[in-house]
Amino acid sequence: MNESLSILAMQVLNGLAYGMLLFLLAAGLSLIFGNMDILNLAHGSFYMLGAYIALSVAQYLDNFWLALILAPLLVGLISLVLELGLLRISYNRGHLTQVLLTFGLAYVFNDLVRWIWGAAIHTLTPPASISGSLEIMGQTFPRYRVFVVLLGFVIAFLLWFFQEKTRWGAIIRAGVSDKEMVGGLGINIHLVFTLIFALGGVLAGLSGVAAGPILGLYPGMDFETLIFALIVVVVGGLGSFTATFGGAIIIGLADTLGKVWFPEASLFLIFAIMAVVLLVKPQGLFGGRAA
Amino acid sequence: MNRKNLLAMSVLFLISLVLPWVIAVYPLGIVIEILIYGIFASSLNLLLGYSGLVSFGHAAFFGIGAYTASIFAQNVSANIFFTLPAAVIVSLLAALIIGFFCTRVSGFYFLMLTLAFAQMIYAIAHQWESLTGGSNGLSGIPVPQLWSGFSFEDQKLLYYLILIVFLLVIFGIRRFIASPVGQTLIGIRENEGRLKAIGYNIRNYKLLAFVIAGGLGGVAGALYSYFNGFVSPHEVYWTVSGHAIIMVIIGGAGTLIGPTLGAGFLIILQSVVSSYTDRWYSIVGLTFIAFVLFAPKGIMGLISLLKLPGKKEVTQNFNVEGEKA
Amino acid sequence: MIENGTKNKKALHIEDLSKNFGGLNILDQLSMSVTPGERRAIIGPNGAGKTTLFNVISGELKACKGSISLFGEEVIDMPNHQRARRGLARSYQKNNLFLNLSVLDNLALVLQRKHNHEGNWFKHRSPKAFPLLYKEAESFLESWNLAKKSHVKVAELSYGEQREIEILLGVAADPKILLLDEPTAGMSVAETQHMLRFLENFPVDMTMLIIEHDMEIVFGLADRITVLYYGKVLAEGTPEEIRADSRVREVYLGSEVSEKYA
Repeated sequence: MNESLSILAMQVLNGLAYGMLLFLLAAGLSLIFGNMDILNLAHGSFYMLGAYIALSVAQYLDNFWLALILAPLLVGLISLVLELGLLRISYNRGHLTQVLLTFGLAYVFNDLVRWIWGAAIHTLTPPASISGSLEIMGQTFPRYRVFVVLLGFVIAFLLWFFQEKTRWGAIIRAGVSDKEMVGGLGINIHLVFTLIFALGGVLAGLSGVAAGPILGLYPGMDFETLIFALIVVVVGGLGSFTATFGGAIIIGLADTLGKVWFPEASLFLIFAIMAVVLLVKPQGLFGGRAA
Repeated sequence: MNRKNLLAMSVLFLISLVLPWVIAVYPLGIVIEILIYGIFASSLNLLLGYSGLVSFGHAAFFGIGAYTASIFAQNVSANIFFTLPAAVIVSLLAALIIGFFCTRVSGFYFLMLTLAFAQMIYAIAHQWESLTGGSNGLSGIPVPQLWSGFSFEDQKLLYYLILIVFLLVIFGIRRFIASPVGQTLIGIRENEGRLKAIGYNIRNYKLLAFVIAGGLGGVAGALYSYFNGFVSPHEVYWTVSGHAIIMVIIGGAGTLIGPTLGAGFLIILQSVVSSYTDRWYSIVGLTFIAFVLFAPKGIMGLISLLKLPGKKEVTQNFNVEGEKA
Repeated sequence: MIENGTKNKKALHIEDLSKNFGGLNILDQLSMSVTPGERRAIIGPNGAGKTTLFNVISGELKACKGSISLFGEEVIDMPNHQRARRGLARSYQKNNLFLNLSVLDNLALVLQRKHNHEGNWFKHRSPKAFPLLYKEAESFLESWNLAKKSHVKVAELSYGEQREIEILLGVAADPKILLLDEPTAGMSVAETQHMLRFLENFPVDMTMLIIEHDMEIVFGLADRITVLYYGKVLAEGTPEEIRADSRVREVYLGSEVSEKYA
């Protein structure tokens, strides 16, 4: 394989890995937004918490795999508590109130992370079995990125299966398009909201853990990544995990390849994509609902 | 305006005139900051409070104003008749471009887009080193001048400059909001759909509000660069947008002086709290959550509660346009 | 151009209008026309597509297919504010008002548009600066017995008063065509009578389409009646013709009306 092609293959892998991280984050964001009409501005905080909790778990238990499972669950628990304790009491006050509440939480979490873990940059170390490099067709790839891509595909498949093939998935799909109908079916919509918010937290936490070895841990990672997740939601569109998946892959690849080819203007590429999508297809490339 | 208000205003005005001569340099600096952020929060209030447009990227214009004024002061002239209009024009143009995209969407999509665009401006401030000095920012900005030989070296003079601009902005907003266009913006906040059916082209109004708010945000940024003598990408960071939202909500969205009260509350709180603890962000976050839950109409709402019970409340509910509360 | 000639004489001309939601045809190749100055009642059972028809005419919903012309001008691709500027106004089945604004401010939003002050951004909107606008507002509020309430927040009014303002916002625009969606919905008998007197006194050259369930109003007010049934026009004619139409009785009017008006 010639050299430029092998660099390209490597960057495509990097882009896919980044896309998967964005997918995990944006999936929860768009799920919460699509169903509950709440733009969760603390979603980046959940991502950050996932990474930092995993850092502690990995340090104390010396086991990355446990961290990969425990941290997202803990973040899910935190988001569950927040939904029940804070958002639920404000449902009758309109969605702006709830968005503002999540924004207040983002401040608090940003500070808590600084307080508990300090302002220094940390990194998560993956276990030996998924670090180092892997040879495919005479080309070496970093194992961990391959792992992240596989993880992303597995989660995406599970979410797709959940949404398309299960009863709860059908309820959630109905919730995106018609909330009154869900209520009319005799389903407790508040319970649905709580579960969705918690699931969103789990996914964001998972994204944070998986991102730890690649992107590192630092205060400020919350909003930096949230903005990319928002762009994914705008580009992909609302309505299904498939839409988010498509948007995430596009943005992940565009950002990574853009950084290689036009390092000066990589960010503009992302924003240009977003602007074009908004002009041409405001409901998102794969979404059903208009912005 | 009734006589009691007029009297109160005159007293306030007199106090603000003699203030630099009775307080020390440090508290005067805090007052200047309150005025600058008062302008900034009031400009955001045009969107968030009056029009119901939740912009999460207002720092973009603060930063653009600050950088433009600084770059012109360093490279062309420090005359404020030059740097201030330059900052306003560049902010207006940026607001026109960003607003063109953002006003095509409604509800929380608007929030997402404004946030994303502001982050892009932040990235520019970071990456375009030859122009912005990158993450080091721009330092050694020349002291602003009125004409050559008359510079605002003395903070008292700078205070008067900023006070004048502040008063112009506040009275300008008051006038604008009372005009048919301003009343239409309030109509957008209250019921966008009906307004369209009446025959208003809503997008044009939103864009106008966005551009004016952006221009005034640029004014605040330029004043900040005069006061601070140094600008960095931090001025464009999302926290600056976030602080402005917090100021508007805490002070009272959709009221004339609420945002300035919010700015005062936040800045004074910060200067008090920061001498005791490093947990400033937690305190801001929790204070904000408390206001959203228990006093959604902000300080202005609390003040109106103190007045005679028969009196109607002065503040408006905050609604997102495109959403019925 | 004979066809255009007849179209031009029509206040509203609809051809082959279709609208579907999720595969369900709410409007199904519907055609109808209304002559200038006509009072046309639209009736039909629930789910016949009456409100959807209004939403498509006003431009709040986009039609899937077909044509709508207002006084000879095709408006199918126009956004709703442009249709409003061509003389279309409407009221809604559910009150759709500026609840946190005063009665006067609600009305002023309509009147400042009509008087082309809506681009004025420097003058304080006050009786002194805009005497004509406020004089007109005053006379509207006076004749609707709302003068005492002009500075009250609409949210604080009774339902009946809010309903009147709902209609007032439509008629104050001085439209060429006014669409009224169940103007008396939820009103008491006395309020309905009151409203009927207003409707009767609307300017004679104003074309009016009215969706109404109250048959007394329908038969008392309408020059012609269109009966919708599953998105199609089932029958159209004068009140007498509709009353005599057996299909209409079958699907909609039922025995109640036959007894009352036969």
